[in-house]
Amino acid sequence: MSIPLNITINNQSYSLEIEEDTTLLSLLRDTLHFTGPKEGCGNGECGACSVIVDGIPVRSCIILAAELEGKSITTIEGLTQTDEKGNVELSEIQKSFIDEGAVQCGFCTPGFVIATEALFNRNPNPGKEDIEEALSGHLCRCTGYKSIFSAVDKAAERKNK
Amino acid sequence: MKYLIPHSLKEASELLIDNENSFILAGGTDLLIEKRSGKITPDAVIDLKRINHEELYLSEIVVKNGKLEIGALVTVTQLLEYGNLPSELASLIDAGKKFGCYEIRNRATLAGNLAHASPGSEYGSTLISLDAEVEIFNSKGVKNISVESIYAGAGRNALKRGDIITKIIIPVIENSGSAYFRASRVDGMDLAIINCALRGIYDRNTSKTSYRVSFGAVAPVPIRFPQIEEMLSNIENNRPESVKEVLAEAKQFFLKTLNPRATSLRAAPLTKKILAGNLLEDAYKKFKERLKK
Repeated sequence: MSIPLNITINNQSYSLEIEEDTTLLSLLRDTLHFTGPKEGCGNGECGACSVIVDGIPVRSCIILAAELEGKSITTIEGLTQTDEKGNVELSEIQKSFIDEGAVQCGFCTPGFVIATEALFNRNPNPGKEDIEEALSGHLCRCTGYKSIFSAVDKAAERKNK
Repeated sequence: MKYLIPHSLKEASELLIDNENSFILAGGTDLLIEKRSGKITPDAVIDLKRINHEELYLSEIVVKNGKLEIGALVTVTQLLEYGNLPSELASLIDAGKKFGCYEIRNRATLAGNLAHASPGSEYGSTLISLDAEVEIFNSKGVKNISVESIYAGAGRNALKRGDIITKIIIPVIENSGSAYFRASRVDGMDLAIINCALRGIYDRNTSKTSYRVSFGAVAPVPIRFPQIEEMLSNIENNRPESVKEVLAEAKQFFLKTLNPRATSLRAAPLTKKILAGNLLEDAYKKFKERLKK
């Protein structure tokens, strides 16, 4: 049976009819085509599906969309700015990931970027331990993490300039 | 699957009874994984998060009458960020810092950790060592039971249909201290190979210390070791070698008596037997350090 859901995604309001067992990740990807969040493990272990709900980063693969009536979601798509000509400007975090070579296959990247965005929102000047803690639940099979930590450092520097 | 929103605990309990194959949904970090894997196939989930204001205590942490009360919807992050946690209960923070990862802690609840009844759960051994109780609501009213009695077997709780955990109640005892340690394959997001929680209460009149020690992932449920508690209480305060002797005795005890299952995915039985003694030593030392402060 479908039920109504009012939800805000990347500052846009949606009034939807959803199946009761739809996960937030499935709603985002399959229904609304926000394909930034990825399904890696589907068990909340890898971090690729992370999104921000009312300021708090969570795993969208293990949340039912039905739980989120009235909530506001930010996906990686919501971090960019688009001007009136349709030009997309990436966020400082995204730029730093590119500059530091922290993106290889790219599958895990939206999760790392969302975790970094949420970290900066709660702690504008994070130390090494804070960064490690914030990213500890995210898996990357390509980079070996070093370039990802460099990217977060660089983004923090740019942000605090 | 139906998604049900009760507006009171009474309604939630009735929904559990009316829907035979239904589950309480709080953080969902275990429930939705088990649903996905097919381990459970719920006909309904009952979301406690939209319960009426009169039951707001479900989301609260309070210290009342010398006890810390943690509502059933309190997340691990909420506990870690709670500013007034009595220092005697520091093991709750030790366990929270090891729990899942940041995003999981933002959703997972302590009550859900108990209800899931995993043998190596962070809060099973911790809350047992702290002599905690849970408050259970059902149609007959409210009752308190010990955390130990929640566990019926590996992944099985002893709750009856219609029972809902509403809060966890932990005594705050003067001159006491606590610590939690775990061994895991990686430091980040992982489950415990084995964990150990310890609480000691120092009696100023007798200069004796009494202990509660609980281990996770060495048996189907988290368990206490009264023999170990007794051994620790025999440590002589004025003789430093006594600590070494008792810890050596405890390590021998674990080697001889522990019988962890050989099919564990995380470590061989001998590894667990050795780790048990090592974690006990870590927890005892951390407890002593904290008690001094």
